[in-house]
Parts: sequence; C-alpha cells; structure tokens
Amino acid sequence: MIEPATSDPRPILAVLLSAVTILLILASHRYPNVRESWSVLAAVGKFAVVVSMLPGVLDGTEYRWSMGEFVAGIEFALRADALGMVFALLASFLWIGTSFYAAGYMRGLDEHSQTRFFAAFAASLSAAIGIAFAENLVTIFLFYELLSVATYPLVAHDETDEARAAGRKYLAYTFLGGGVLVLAGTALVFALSGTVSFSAVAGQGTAAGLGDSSTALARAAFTMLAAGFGVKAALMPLHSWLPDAMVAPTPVSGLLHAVAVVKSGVFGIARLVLDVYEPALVAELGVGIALAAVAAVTLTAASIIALRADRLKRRLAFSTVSQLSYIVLGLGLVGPAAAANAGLENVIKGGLLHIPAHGFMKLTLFFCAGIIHVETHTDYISEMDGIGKRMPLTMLAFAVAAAGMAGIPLVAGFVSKWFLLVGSVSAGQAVFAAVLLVSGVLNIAYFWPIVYGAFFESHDRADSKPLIEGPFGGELFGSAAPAGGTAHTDGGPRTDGAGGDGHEHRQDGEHGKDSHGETHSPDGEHASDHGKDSHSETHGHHGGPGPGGWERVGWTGAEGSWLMLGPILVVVAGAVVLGLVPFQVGFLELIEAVAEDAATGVTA
Amino acid sequence: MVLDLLPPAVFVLAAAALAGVLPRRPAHAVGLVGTGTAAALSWLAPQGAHLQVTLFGAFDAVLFNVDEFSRLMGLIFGFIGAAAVLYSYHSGAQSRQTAFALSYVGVSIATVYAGDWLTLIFFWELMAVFSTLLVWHYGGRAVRAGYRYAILHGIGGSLLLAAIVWLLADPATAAGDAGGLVFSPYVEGTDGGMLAADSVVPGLLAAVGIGVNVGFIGLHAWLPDTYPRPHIAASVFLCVFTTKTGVYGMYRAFPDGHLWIAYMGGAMAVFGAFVALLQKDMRRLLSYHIQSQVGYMVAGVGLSGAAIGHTATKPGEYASLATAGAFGHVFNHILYKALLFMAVGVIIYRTGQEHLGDIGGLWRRMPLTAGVFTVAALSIAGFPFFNGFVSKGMIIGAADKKQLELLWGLLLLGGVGTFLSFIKLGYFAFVEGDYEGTVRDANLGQGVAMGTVAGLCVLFGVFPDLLFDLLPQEQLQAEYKYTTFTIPHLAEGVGLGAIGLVAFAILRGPLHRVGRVPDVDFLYNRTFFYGGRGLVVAVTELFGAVDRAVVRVVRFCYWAGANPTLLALRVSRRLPESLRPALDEEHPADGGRPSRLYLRAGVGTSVLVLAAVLTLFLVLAL
Amino acid sequence: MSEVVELALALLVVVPVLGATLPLALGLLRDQVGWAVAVAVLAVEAGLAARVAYDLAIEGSRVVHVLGGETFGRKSQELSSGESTEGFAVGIELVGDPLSGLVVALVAGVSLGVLAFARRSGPRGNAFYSGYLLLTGGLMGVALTGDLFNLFVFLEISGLTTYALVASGRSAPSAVAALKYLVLGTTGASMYLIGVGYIFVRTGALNMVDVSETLAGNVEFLDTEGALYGDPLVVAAFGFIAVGLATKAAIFPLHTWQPDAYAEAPDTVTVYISALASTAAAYALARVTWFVFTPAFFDAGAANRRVLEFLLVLAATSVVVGSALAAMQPRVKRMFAYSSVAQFGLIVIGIGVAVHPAAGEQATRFAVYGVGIHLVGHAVIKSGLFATAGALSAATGARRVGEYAGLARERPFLAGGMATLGFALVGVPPTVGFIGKWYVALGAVEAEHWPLVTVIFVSTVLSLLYMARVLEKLYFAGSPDATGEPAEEIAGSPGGAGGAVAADGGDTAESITGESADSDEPVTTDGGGSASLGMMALALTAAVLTVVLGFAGSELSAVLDPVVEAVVDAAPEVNP
Repeated sequence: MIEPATSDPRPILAVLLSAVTILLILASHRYPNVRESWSVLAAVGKFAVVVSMLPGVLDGTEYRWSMGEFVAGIEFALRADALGMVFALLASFLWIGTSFYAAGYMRGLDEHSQTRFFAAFAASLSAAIGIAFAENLVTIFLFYELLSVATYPLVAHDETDEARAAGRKYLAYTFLGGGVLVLAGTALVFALSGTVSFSAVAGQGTAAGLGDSSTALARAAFTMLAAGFGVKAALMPLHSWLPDAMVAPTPVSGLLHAVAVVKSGVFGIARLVLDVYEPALVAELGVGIALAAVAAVTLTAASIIALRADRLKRRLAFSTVSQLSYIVLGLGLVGPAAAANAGLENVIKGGLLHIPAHGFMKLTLFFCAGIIHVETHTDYISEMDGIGKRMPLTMLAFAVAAAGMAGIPLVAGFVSKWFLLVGSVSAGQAVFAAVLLVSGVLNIAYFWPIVYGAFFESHDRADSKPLIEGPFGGELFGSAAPAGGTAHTDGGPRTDGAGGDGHEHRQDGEHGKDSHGETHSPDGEHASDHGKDSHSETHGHHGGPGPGGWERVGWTGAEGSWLMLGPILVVVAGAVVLGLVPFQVGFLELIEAVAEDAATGVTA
Repeated sequence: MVLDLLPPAVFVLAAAALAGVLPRRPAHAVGLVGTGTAAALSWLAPQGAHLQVTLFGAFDAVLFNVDEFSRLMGLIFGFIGAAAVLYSYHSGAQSRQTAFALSYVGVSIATVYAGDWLTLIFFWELMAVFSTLLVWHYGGRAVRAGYRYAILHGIGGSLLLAAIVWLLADPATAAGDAGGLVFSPYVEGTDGGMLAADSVVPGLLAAVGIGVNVGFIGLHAWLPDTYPRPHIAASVFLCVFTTKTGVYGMYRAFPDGHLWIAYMGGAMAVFGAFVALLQKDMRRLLSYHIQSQVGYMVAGVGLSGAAIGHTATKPGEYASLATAGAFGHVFNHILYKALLFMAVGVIIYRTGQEHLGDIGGLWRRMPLTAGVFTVAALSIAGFPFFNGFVSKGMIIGAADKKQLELLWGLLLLGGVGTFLSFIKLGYFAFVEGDYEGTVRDANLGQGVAMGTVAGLCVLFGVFPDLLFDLLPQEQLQAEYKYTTFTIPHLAEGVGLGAIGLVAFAILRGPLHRVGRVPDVDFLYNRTFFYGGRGLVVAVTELFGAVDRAVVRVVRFCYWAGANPTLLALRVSRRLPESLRPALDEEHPADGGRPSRLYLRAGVGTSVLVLAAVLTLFLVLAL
Repeated sequence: MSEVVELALALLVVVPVLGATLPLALGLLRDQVGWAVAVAVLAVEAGLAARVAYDLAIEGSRVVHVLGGETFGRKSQELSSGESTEGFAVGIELVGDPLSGLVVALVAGVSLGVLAFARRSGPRGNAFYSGYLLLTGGLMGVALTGDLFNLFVFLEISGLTTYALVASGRSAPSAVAALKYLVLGTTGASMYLIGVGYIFVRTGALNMVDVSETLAGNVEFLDTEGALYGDPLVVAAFGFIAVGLATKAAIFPLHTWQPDAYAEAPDTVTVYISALASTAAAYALARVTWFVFTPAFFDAGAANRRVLEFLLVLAATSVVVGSALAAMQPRVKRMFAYSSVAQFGLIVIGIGVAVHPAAGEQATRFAVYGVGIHLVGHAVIKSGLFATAGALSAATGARRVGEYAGLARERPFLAGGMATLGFALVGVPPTVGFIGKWYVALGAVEAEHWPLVTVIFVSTVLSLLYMARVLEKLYFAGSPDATGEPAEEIAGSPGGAGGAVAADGGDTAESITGESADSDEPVTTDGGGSASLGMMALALTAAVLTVVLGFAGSELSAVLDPVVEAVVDAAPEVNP
C-alpha cells in the first residue's frame, strides 16, 4: 500500500522557508513592520507549501527529498508522509496566527530585543517542520537538537534571574533528553538493525532488525528513545522544565510549549512506536504497556497539581503536561492493542488526533492568558474574578477551549478522548479508560472555576476558589448573598464553619487572594521567584482589577488589540471545527491513513 | 419528507442564539416561538422519521429519531418550555438567562430525540453544561452550587460515557462497530440496551451514571442543593429537564427493566417525600419532591419488563402498564412540578422570602397563586381527578399486579409523605398565620402560564384517555386496557389523602420546631474538600520537594565547581586538626581570596603522576 | 606525477624549516618582516599541502619518499641465520597516506589561517615567526614521517619550538607555564624514546612498516622466531610510547602542563597550539597504535589487552574530569583548555576502540572515522573558540566568563561565532563536532563497550555544562555592569553557604561567583583596543567551517576508508 516515495523538494523547502526568514528578520531589525511582515510571509508560505502536499499524501504518495549521505549509511533525508503531515500541518497553520499574535503581544508589552525573539521563533518553527518531515532517526535528532537550541533564547528571553534559571533548566533537560538519550538510543538502533530509516517499505525499516536482535538491547533502545523524546513530551518525572519555561513570553508558551516543542517530543514517540518499532514489535517487547502506565501517572498527577497552581500560565502548563499524556497514553496502548489485536486503530486515532486537538485548544488558552496579561497585567487566577466584563470575547474563547479540555462535546477534545476510550477498553485496558475519565472530571475541577469566576462573579463578590482555599461548599457571602438566603437554608456548610475554614487557610497561607506566593509555591518554584512575582504582580504592574472593579467592555472587541483577538478567535474556531468535522479538515483523514498502515502491519 | 430533516431542537437552539443578543421582549418572544414550534413539530412528526449520519467519519449515529417515547418527551418538553419562557418573561428574567435556559431546553430535546447512544451522550453532556450556565448566571451563592452541580454531573456523564464506550468496545454486542450503539427501532442493529452485552459492567455503569441525573438516594444531593438557588424562573426550567431526561435515558438503557432499579425507585419515593417534609425552604422542599416523584417513574421503568416480578399472568401486559405509567408520570409530573415551582416562584417573586417561617396566610392576598398551588398539590399528591392520580396509579397498579408487595407498600407510603408535605407547605404558606405588608398576586403573564398548566393538570386528570392517546400506543391499548377510575383505586387515592391530613394534624407542632436537616452532601462536601485538599497538597508538596532537591543538588555542583577552594576550606573545617593546616596555608586567615592555584599540580607533582601512570602501565603489561 | 608528489612530501617538511631562517636573516636588514615572510612561506606550503593532500586523500594513493634518495632505500640484508631478507630500510622515509594527508592539510591550513590572527594580536618580532615556521615544519614532519625515531625527532622539534612560543608572552606566568610544559613535554618525549629503544632492541628496525612486519613475525631482521607480540619488552614498549604520547596529547592525569600553557600563552600561540600540538601527538598515537602495533598485537595476550584497556580507562576519565574541571574555570581560556583534555579523551577512546579485540569490522570502521574526523573537527572548533575568545578580549578586554555579560549586543558576530562553535563542541548537529562524536560513539556501541558508551554520551551534557555558562553570559546576562551580582550559573550558593561566605570575608563573595573582577587582568571593557578584521575573519571562518565540515561528514569518512581497511586486516601500511 506504500508507493515508492516520489522525489520532491517541497519538504526541504518548507524547512528552509523559515530558515531563510531568520536572515531576513535579522537583516531588517531596524524596521519592525518589515520584520514582522517577514514572519507572516514565511508562515503563510510555509503553510501553503505544506498544504500543497496534502492531497498527494492523502492519496498515499510520499514526497521525499534526500540531501545525500550525512554520516555513514545514513542519509540526511526529509519525507512527507501522513504522520509527518499531521504535525507539519498543525505547526505551520498555527504559526500564521501566532506570528500576528506575537507581533501584537511583543509590541503591547514593548518588549526588548524583539529581533532576537522573532528570529529564534522562525528558527524553532523551521526545526519543528524538520522534525515533522525527518525521514530517519538521525535527521530527526538533528532537528530535535536544533529545536532545543533555537528555543533556548525564547525561554531565557526576559533575562531575569528567573528566566535564566528556567533557560538553564530547559537546556539541561532537553540536552539530557536529546543529546544523551535520543542519540544513544539512535546509535543503539543503528547498531542493532543497521538502519535508522522510518521507511515502512518492507526490509528498509528498522523493526525487522530490532526484532531479530536481543530483547534486552531492543528494550533498552526503546526506553532510551522514549525517555529522550519523553523529556520534551514532559512525561513525569522529566516534566519540570515545562512549568518553569512559562516565564517565556506568552506566544512562546503558546505555540512552542503547547504545540511545537512539546508536540515534537510526542511526535518523536509516535515515530518510535509506529515506525521504528512497529506495533507488533512493541507488543512483543511489552514496552507499550509500560509507556502507557507512565503516561497514566503523569496524566493524573499533573491534573492534581494544576488544581493548586494560582498563576494562570502555570496551571495551563500543568494542564499541558497532563494533556500530552493523553497522546502518549494512546501511543503506549498501541502495544496492548496490537497484542489483543483489537482497538489498535482507535488508540492510534485517539492519540494522534489529540495532537491537533490539544494544539488548537491549548493555544487558545495561552493566547487568552497572554492578552489578559498585556491588557490588564493580571497573571493570577485569584485576581480574575469578574474579568469577563473586561474581556468578554477572550474569556468566551477561554471557556470554550476549557470545555474542550474537559472533553465536552462540540469541541475537539471530545472526539480524541472518545477514540481513546473506545480503543483502550476494546484493547482490554479499561483501567486507562477510567484514568481518562477521572482526568476529564479533574479538568472540569480546575478550569471551570476560572470560567465562572470570570463571568459570574465580580472582584468583590467572589468566593475563594475550590478545593484548595475555602470549604468545598464555597465561602458564603453573608449579607452579600442575594435573594436573602439565610445560612441555615443553605446546602453548603454553615457560615461560621466556612469563616473558620477561611481564617485557618489564611494562616496556612493557602488563601489565593491574599498571598500568591504560597498558592503556586509548590511544584518547585524557587522561593525567590514567587516572592518576587507576587510583589511585582501586585504592586509593579497593578495586576488585577482596579479599586472600582473591572470596567465593562462590550462584545465588539474593544477589549484588546485585534492583532491578538483575531488569532484567538480563529484558533478557537478551529478547535470547534475540529470537534465537529475532524475528518473534513484533513487531520483525521491523515491519521486514519496512519492507523490503517499500522493495523495492516500488525495483521500482516 | 421535510420533517425528517428538521429536528425540533434546531428551532429552540436557534431561538436561544437569538435570545442571547436580543433585548428582553423580542428575546422571550423568539423563545416562545421556538419552543412552541418544537412542541408542534413533535406533535406532527411522523412515527419512524429518523435522520442517520456518520459522526467523526467513523460512527453511525441517528441524530433524530421519532418513536413514541421520544415524541412524548419532545412534546411535553416543548410545551413546558414555552410556558416557562412566558413565565420567565413576566418574572423579570434577563434575556441572557433565558438564552441559557433555551439552550438547555434545546439540548434536552435533542437528547430525547437521539437515536443512538453516541448522540445521546453528546447532548447529555451539553445539557449538563447549559444547565450549569443557567445556574451560574444568577451569580452569588448559586455559583458555587453550580460548580458542585457541574462536578457531580461531570462524574455522572463520565460514568454513562464509560458504559457506552464499554458497549461499543465489547465484542459481545456489536464487534465494536457503531451498530451496537443505535437503539432507534427504525435502524437495523441491536436494541442498544445496556445489558444487551453479556457482561454486567456497562449496565452497572449506566445505572449509576444515569442515577446521578435521576437522583438515586446518595447521588441526589445536588437536587436540593442547586435548584433552590438560582432565579425563580431558572428553577422552573431546571425542575423539568435534567431529571426527566434521566428517566428517559434510564428506560433506553433498561428497556426490559430491572428489579433493583424498581426498588431504588420505591426508596426514592419514600425518602424524598419524608425528607421534604422536614424542609422549610420552599424550593428545597419541592426539590426533594422531584426526587420522590422521579422515584415513581424510576420504579415504573424498573418494572417495565416481562421478566420482572410475578410472571404467571400476563407479564407482558403488566410490564407495558408500568412503562406507560412511567412515561405518563413523566408527562404529568412535568406539568404539576413546573406549576408548583411557578407558584412558589410567584411567592418568592412577590415577597422575596424563600423560607416558610417568614411567610403565611397568603391565600387572601394571592388567591390565584393559592388556587393553582392547590391544583398542583392535589395532582402531585395523586388525588383523584387530578393527573397525578392517573399515572401514579398505573405504576402502583403495576407493582401490585406483579405482586411486589414491598415495592407497592413503599410507593403508597411515598404517597402519604407527599400528601403530608404538601399539606404542610400549603398550610404554612397560605393558611396559617398572616403576612404583614402588602403583597400583590401573580401578574397577568405568570397567571396565564400557570393557568394553562393547571388547566392541563385537571384536564388529564378528568379525561385520562387524552393522556393515554399520547402514551406509547401499542405498549398499552393493544395489549391491556387500563381503567383509571375503579372503586378501590379511588378509595386508595382518597384514603392516602385522609391519612395525610390526620398525620399532619398530629405532626404540625413538631414540624414547626424542626430545623435544617443535613443531607448526604454535608458529608461528601467535606470529604471532597478535605480529602481533595489533602491529596492535592500532598502531591504538589511531594513534587515540589523532589524538584527543589534536584535543583539544590545541581546548584551545589555548580557552586562547588566554581569554588573548589572554598569547598575544600569548608570540608576542611569538618576535618580533624591534623589535616587542616595543609589547607589553611592556601587560605590566609585574613579572609583573603582563596588562591586558585590550589588545584594545580606543580611540575614535580606532574612528573610524579606521570611516573605513577607509567608504572601502572608496566605493572599491567608484565 | 607521483614523483612530483614524492618531492612535495619532502618539501612540505623542508620549506618551513628553511623558511624559518628567513625572518632572522632578513631581520638583520629591517625588522617586522616576520609576518610577511611567514605568509609567503606558508602560502607555498599550503600550495604544496593542497597538491599532496589531493593526491593522498582524494586519490587515496600512498606515496613514499626516502630522504637522501636511492643511495639509501631498501636493500637486502644478510642475517646470521644465513638467508637474506628483502626490504630492510635504511634511511628515513616520509610516508604519505590518506590519514597523514588529512593532517597535512589541517596543519597547512591552520598555520596559514592563524597568521591572519597574528597580524594584530600576535607577539610581533621576527624571532616569533621563525619559531612559528619551525613549529609548522616539525608538525609536518610528525604527520609525514614513516620512521619511529624520526617521529621522536619531529615531536621534539615541534615541542621545543612550542615551549619557546608559549614563553614568548614575556610574562612571569607564561614563563612558568613554558617551563612546566618543557619539563613534562620532554619527559613524555623521552618516555616515547625509551619505548622506541625497546622496540629497536627487539626488532632491529625503526621504520614503521618494518617494525610492524617484524612484530607480526613476517620478516626477521634479528634472530627472532615468529611474532613478538607476547614479548614483555614489546608490551612494555607500547606502555612507554602510550604514556609518552598521551602526555603530549594531554590525557588526564598527564594533562597538567596543558591548561597553563594554553592559558598563559599569547592568544595567537594558544590558537595555534590548541589546534595542532595535541592533535599531532594524538595522530602519532593513532599511527603507532594502528599500524605499528596492529590490532593483532592487542589480541595477542591478556597483558596486551590489559594495557590497551588501561589506556581506554585513562581516556574515559579524561573525558569526565576534563569537562568537570572546565566547568570550574572562571577564565575562558583555561576553560577551553580543559575542554581539550576532555575532547582528546574522546579521540583516544576512538583510537583504542578501533584496535580493541572486541571490535568487529563495523566497530573499527566507525572508530577510525571518528578519530580522523574528530581530530580535524576539534582542531577547527577549538582554534576557532580560542580565536573568538582572543578577539573578544582584544575588543573588550573580557577574559573571564563573568566579563562576557551582555557582550552579544556589542559584538554580535563574534558572539554568534562563539555560539556556533560552542554548540559544535557540545556536538549539536549538523556541525562536525556531532559527526566525530557520533562515529566514536557508534564504534563503542558496535564494540559493546557499554561504560565507554555511557561516558561518550554523557560527555554531551558535561560539555554543555561549561559552554552554556558562556553563552548564557553572552546573551542573557543583561548589561556588562551587571557582573557584580552573584553569577547565575552558580544560581547563588547552596543552603547555608551565604553565612559561611560572610565568614570568609568580603572578597570571597566574589570568588564564590568565580568570576569577579579580580587582580589578574583589567576588567575595563573599553580597554584593549579592538579586534582586527583578521581576528574576526579567522573566528568566523572557523565557525562556518564547522558547519560545512558537518555536511562533508560522508566525504571525510570516504577519505578514511582505505585506512579502515588497513586497520581491519592489521596491515602495516595503507595500501589503497
């Protein structure tokens, strides 16, 4: 079913487009408008190139471009196949919106060294596309490392101690993952099978060689590669760079730390499971179930941690960690599914479809966080009560995306989650289905307080946020309570009880409203950091509503620059479209092609 | 034909969209039209019309499926929606609240018209979302209640989802293809009952999942917790759709009934009624009665299976009697429960009081409200010639005929409790005491809305055949002709009322004194909160500790790397005296900067090392 | 044509040595001619090198030139046992094969390139350039000689000149460093000489090919029976030679001379010797190990194998410790110096793995590739780094990591160059640094030396440890005046350290950061004039070259194929 790949320069073109843009951006550093327009042009061009390959790939053609032998026996080759197209399509499309958004954001904050920022941004995208189209492990490693390098300036952009620390952590983790583990795994695979090509053509792939070699070595190689890519996929316990990397400007957090970089890790795992070791072998080695187990733990633990993070971007970061594991879980379940010969297509579909699904939704969320920061300098959830008045459109988009995260229908999240559930159950792994459902509830638990706080409460009439501060029943307003409700008719706990709780928490220093520090101090922020943050946030930028509360802004988009609002609306619309007709927009069709190949590989 | 392609829900949702942007008057007008159209379409929709599509490019789904059950539900949902919209307008609801309410109605109608489980869960979840929004919109205390509501329904929905997924994945049902999910009788495929699979798991999951919506005992706390809090008009909407959709889903899941479910229904009937008796917040009291009444319906669903109970004589007929009773009760209950919430809503609207203790003797000031309240109370209590009497009687009769005495007793007892608590409500609110200050009666619009509904209550009570015409036909007439007004049945109705009166006369004093009674949520709110907080804090602190540890180690390495001499100095401080001087020479005591030459090997040392290495080589070589 | 190349081989050595006299001679007429002369001579040299390298590397031929012509050369030899053997070489052969071809090209290229740097920065004066040319000649000799003893001679020529050049800094520290280098270098060289002596005693031959043949027992010049691999004297000889060359290649713990020498020497000299001195030694070690003692030797007995593995252990240690020490250094030049210790550890690992009994053909192949490519790659990278550092300090006076804070804004190009070279050093593809490391690692994996594999891969992170410091300072440390703050790459001091610091007195607060402005150099960022175009050019050329070579990886490996075959079948000479 695999036709021989046709030689075509478009893959490399897609990579080089933004690589060239770097130079143009650097060259035109004196003229911001020119500079940004380069970004936009490159984004559009890149997307056009990728899309131009879509029909062909859907027909089963593979566009391949080889730049000759890179190291002995290994070509430096790019190949656009269905799986790669999923990632490339996602990254290149979202880059368009992001390049507008980034312009709006950086100008809105009047950031320093924007040229470096945009150049590094283009470089990252170039590397991301390279990862998508890489034809073998060495090529993917090459771009994987380049991506680490190119993203580092973006993480450390602020040049504050916190940013530098985050950047250092980022480099350490990614190079440990890439330079050490992935490289070692690649070398081992090459030593075992004599090739590192992803090619699915019989005899050219690596799976055969790995299958013949010793089980222990094959497992070791799988483990190293999985762990190596797992660093960028933020699998626990290798995740802790991601929350810290949130000091980066929000466009970076959005596109790179929700889409390009982290997805590149996930994508690497997908390559590993589907192309390097093919499902049959994964099942035989029994490594799939282990991967799934790690993912399941990550998924749950991250959601739980997210409940406590009071800084919006931090909560989003942990949500990212959790959601990424949906994908990894799906890929890990390929093993059991192949073993049981049931549900294989569904787990693959679910896992891979969650790549674009999560991409769209999480990008929306980050964009919202960013525009809130630009417009109101508010970073803490406990300061956002009633912000729906100030930024209605933004918070509406946020609500939709958050609902999608929880797997509510109409939004992309539901579809992928549905496939995952069906697949995991039919693969006889119902426990993972349970984990997914629990995580769905946890998503509601940590996202919806933001939503209702924004729309249905106001800065002075807000109860403390659930689970961590205030009793589960919510703090009562006493006289503020409408409809003259008196305490003893209330379903929740008694007033006095609530008050008592409240005080007690304040002494615990766990009351989000008063002290930001503690509410997001755990999960490893350095004491110095959040001390400084909460200070700068509350006094430095005048975060949160003014004394008069949030001014009301209409639904006409007066809430912020359209450079940012536009992308937000486009992306959230994309999330909904993807939730309604995932097949028609191409993603699901591509993914089905991948899944069928994998399935036939198993049955054959 | 055209109706196949026009699910009624579309109109309601369109109306909702419009209502969101229009000012109040046109918004409610649009809502009225939308819901009215939905009701009309349901009335006209031809039997067996269905709309089959493929969802996510992978699953067959039946977005729109008209059979007797969905049609009945659609009809009453549409009608009561219209009435409630009218009521909202005249109760000063904002247009955005009504927009939320209409979306809620819309997805509910879509849910009952779903022809397969995937579509059903799809709208089921949306129903939870929109009802949550409806609650939240009122702000204040309703917000947190809505959050609890959302969490609980998230859990319930997840369980149902799990059941469906299991059904789909279980090779025993449909080898994983979507055929296993379709229950629409007009599509080839399995009936999609949750127990169609030979495994019991999906059935259990579904029962509990739906049990959240219908308020199984223990899972019911969201009812009295949520419904009293939002706007009075919102309550009218809420009291109708979620639970009734639950009953409908329960029937779809267990078309052949299940004994446990039947008994759970009976228990709910009794529990709800008697806990309600202890309430003083009016809407809270009514909420408990929702649970109680839904208990009857659940009992009916549970009985609707030939295999349930005594099967010697005409099992099929009795089963269909139960089914018909259940759906008849759904229909009637929607009418009178909405009516009750409207009436109580009017009281709150006029007096601003939610609490029985704060009002009294209102019948002089608001006779109309008192009138419709009486009608509704008699209907819910199942007094002869009111619609509750008809459908409740069918269910109790089915239990009787199936010779499930315990269940039968429970249902009767529930009837007593219902009488009791409504006598109480009516007595405390309208008769006893006096309300100082001027109160006006319901305004015209409210009156019209309530009047219509009240009229229907009486109409269906006096001419039950009108109701029977609506009920699932071949389920009923074809097999078993049920006669409503028999002497024992009438006696039963009146008797229950009598017992209720007597009991109230006795209990009146104590009922005054009883304070607020805690419910299960009192327990699990705290469990959730403290358990949850414990868990979260534990996990976060754990990860935080690990992370900090790692960071500290790394920092130390860096530091040691940058300051080997200082490190050596520090270490040397812990060393015995004998070793220290060697180092202290390197570090002048005056606190001068430690010399960096400290690490470097001098020429002599180097040569020594070289010699040593060479020796090692030779040793190895020889 | 081969005659031309034969002659060229000789000229490669002769031209610079003779040229070395010119600066002094012409210096009598007018001073400051040194640079011009050197340029002229080395231009010629480069031309020759190109010609030769083309023939050797690209054509893959093997050329032998016998100094002194036919009068010497091979002749038959009457043995006491009566019969005579053919092929006993008297006299001095210069042998060119692909391996030496690579080194020749490298030496010529670097020598010429560094002149561009020396123009502004270097110690002026003719004596310096004489030394410079002499050193070039010596290195060429090391690369080309086919004779164990001459190898010693050329090593000493290059060594002695290097000492002189290091000392040409005219500062006390540089004098000390030169002395240290002198003592250790000479000791190492003499170790090597002893080893050669043993071999001569045992085999009666000095020509590498003959020695190899004799050790293998193919020919006998003395009364020897069969292979001599088991002979303790021979094994000991390898020990001596290994230690000697390892000292010159600065393998831990024999590296102690190298950081001082690199750090204290004038920038020009540092750039030059960092690129070539250790490289030449490592090349010599490879040639001796691979072609004199062939893989067969190390397979011959437990002792032989132990010795080799001990060498591997040293190399591995060198990788780890070298990187760690580098990470500790506050001064940039010292840091890079230590990083060389680590990098040559990698190379020696490759040398050892190639001939290890456990290595199959694939393992040997990749190891040889690795050694060849990393020798060249590291030379380019490291000289580039030192050049960049030199240019930066010339431009801004910054010599400590701390003083690099925010220089990226003032000197974007140099900073970019340093970033590129730094990531090349770490081994980020597609730079040549990655290719070399990849092959060495692959060799180790194929030979299944798991501990070595671990070390090699971890070395990535270790090298990141010190490069990241520099880059972070360059780009993200804000303005230079921020250097007063406690440095971030230490991220403050560990728990409790603060108090102890105070206890140590104010100054130590600086020394904690390890990069305070201290008395050694002036911190003034405005001082030091500016970097000349030549300096910039060299730095950036090196940066570009690392990437270009990275893509030329397969070509380089193709060049080395004949070498691989020779090593695989334990042949004494590379016969294409």
